[in-house]
Amino acid sequence: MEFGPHLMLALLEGAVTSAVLALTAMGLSLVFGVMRVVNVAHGAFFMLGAVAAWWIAQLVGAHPALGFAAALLAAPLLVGAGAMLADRLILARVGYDPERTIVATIGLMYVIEQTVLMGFGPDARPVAPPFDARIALPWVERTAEGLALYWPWGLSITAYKLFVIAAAAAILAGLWALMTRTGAGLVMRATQQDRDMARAFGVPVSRVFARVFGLGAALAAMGAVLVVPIQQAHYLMGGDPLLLSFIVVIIGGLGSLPGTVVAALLIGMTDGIVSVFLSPTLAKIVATLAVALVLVFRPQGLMGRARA
Amino acid sequence: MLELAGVHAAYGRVKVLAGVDLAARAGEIHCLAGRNGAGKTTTLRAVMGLVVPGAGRIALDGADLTGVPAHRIAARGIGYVPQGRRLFPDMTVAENLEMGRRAGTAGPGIRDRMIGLFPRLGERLDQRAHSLSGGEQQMLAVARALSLEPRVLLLDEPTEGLQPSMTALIRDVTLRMRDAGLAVVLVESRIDAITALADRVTLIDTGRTRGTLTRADLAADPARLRRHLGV
Repeated sequence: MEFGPHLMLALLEGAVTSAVLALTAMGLSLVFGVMRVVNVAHGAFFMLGAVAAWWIAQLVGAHPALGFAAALLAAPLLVGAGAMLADRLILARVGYDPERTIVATIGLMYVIEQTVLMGFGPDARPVAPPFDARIALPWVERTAEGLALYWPWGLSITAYKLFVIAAAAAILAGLWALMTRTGAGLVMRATQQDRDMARAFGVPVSRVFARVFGLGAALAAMGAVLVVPIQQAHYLMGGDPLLLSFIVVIIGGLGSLPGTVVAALLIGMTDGIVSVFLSPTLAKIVATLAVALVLVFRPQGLMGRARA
Repeated sequence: MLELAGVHAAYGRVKVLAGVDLAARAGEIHCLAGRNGAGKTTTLRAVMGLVVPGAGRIALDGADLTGVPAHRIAARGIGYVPQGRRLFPDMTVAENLEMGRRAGTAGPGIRDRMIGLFPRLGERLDQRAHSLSGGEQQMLAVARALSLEPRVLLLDEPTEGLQPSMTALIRDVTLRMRDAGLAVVLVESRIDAITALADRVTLIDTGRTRGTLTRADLAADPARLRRHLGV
């Protein structure tokens, strides 16, 4: 394949990675931004979303699209409810202390992973994509008559991957509307900006924390449900999303939601291009190097605000 | 209206309040006067539930507020303008006012009333709070607290660091709120502000209140306030 079509393929793969990463990292960023909690169990919630998607798809049976639609709705709700319960039972009891919550969420991660291993087993489980179509993509070539479209061999993408990009964009737009256009979003932003003043103006901060922790986990679960027809569900699948989410959140600026989207695009696209043209391992090295550079030269992240 | 009796409070092991008594009535400006570190700000934070009193009682119209969760205090009718303004910096002026409105029972019309009090805020509704000037930020802090239509207004050094025209505006609004029947508790350490505004003054030192003076007391012995404030 020529360079141009090859690059387009890499960019499309990168866009899929960016879409899932943006959703997952957004959950982590939201939880850190509002609660100042570094949620090490975020990858475990992602995995739980994938496993729940498999379980729900099995339960529903029938047409794969029906099972997938049920999973996309129910898995984030289940995982979000579980996270809210964890918030009440664990994080609230350690007073949301930054250090203790790190240790607590490490413990929570192991508990979730081992519980899934016991109940679900060590095998990777596939979820059928809701549709199977493959779309051939055109490219332009210069001919004697000028530019003309042609369909290079191998330049195609599954319709499902395009759906993943569109669905993630729609969910992120919904989240943006929630945060900027609703009373619930106003209250979450108030809690993020000044916890004490939020209390002084009637915000039940601990209830907001529980909802934010649930929403953060639900976002990770949505990312997982979207990815599981491509990657399969496995009890250890949360490691990479956790690492990449931290990379994205640090590059974007801790707690900055626009920064998280920009960084997810940067990391996802870089991952797509470097993985296609060079190697996937090198893509991870580049991402880690980017974090190191950001930490040295702009510790507040691309769109984070420097603290006085 | 607002009564504090024998209030004790601490930050961890550091005792900050060791017996605060105060009674603010409707339709008066009640100053809490003391030097830096005397416990003035902590007293207001204790009323707002942001510091939980270790002992004593805080009551509003006879109803006990001690131990009521902080997020339920505002709805009882207490508006708070903290030291340093503490606006929600990345929110717009309109959103800051909305946070105040949501905390109380006022309808959406309250925003126009606040703009009537502080017309400049009306020109800045879509501007983020952190980008306002110091004076505008203080106007917004007061307007945010008034947006919940409080019966008691707690003001913590509201004119600190402001230019004279802004100071005059904030003082004028404070007097208008008093005349509208609110109980205003004003934390101050500056004599000119106290003598210009206070109907009564409760003196506080090292976490303990040391008596309450009326305007007549202040007029009879102006040196007492000076001695207390160490100026």
